[in-house]
Amino acid sequence: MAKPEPMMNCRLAQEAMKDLLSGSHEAGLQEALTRHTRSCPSCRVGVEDLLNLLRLAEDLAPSDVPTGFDERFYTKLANLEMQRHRTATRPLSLWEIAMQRAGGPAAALATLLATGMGIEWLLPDLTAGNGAGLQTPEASRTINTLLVAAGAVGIAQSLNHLHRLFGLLAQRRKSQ
Amino acid sequence: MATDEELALESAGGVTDAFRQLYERHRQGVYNMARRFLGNREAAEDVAHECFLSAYENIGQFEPRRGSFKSWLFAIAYHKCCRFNHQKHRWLPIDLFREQIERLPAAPGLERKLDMERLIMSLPVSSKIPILLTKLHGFSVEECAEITGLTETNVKQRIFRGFKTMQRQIKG
Repeated sequence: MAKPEPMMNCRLAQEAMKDLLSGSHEAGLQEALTRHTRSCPSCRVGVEDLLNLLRLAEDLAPSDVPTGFDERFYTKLANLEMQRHRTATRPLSLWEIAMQRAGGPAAALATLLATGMGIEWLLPDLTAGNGAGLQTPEASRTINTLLVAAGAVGIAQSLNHLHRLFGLLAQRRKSQ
Repeated sequence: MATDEELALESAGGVTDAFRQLYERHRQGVYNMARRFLGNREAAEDVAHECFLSAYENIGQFEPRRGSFKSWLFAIAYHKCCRFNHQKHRWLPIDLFREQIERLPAAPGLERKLDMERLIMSLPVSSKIPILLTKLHGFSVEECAEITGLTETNVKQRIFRGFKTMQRQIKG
């Protein structure tokens, strides 16, 4: 059995217009709306205007791309391809290889040392034991040396990243 | 004829000609959206080119099960336009399809169409884009919501608000 159609009132007509304008309406909605506007002069004018605007909007024609649009695009595409090819085939420098290989272990070492130093600083009794332990001058010197070394690798790594970042920015500026 | 999604997969596999076909199918649509979004021909061309270059670079990330290629491409275009509009070029002059007016011969209904263009161009981006995507580019409300990141209810609301604004402008 067919579902009985609800009576359209002005509020429902507004809601129906929303669906109609967005194109997500069910079949028969427009007819129901038309029936309502026949008996409701206050809705009629507004709905007719909106329906006319909708017809005009659906009738909008796309404009052509400007002359030379494709040529300019294909030139940019060829440049991009060339750039990608150059990056893919360029051999890595010794510095880059060293940095790539040293990056992981340096970060791990720095984390380990920072954790150790943190524990020592926060809980000196635990690491000092009976008054000796890590707080001897030799131990401190060793830790300091290791920290300086890890810091140096870390700084070098950061500089390398900055260098690559500026290189990328310069490339992008050039391609624009 | 291969579908957009098949061509996109081929292109991701390294077939350059497949991307060329996709470009030829959608360049006009993307250019038109950018043109009406930004209101400026040169800016629209730049953004449309950027959109296709970005699609070319990231075509491997396109997943057909998540939506059509056209929606994916227009989402890129939409975000490029938003960024362009917000970051750099708020001061761009709006050229209201001047060359269209100059080129086309007088024809019945032409003035009304141009008025419609002017009306749409005068809308705020929040209403203009949902109207253009659904009416000019044939996207459904659901697809439009995907492209713009809005909810479907919000898209419908913005379309309605856009038409209401145009109606008010006509009435003066």
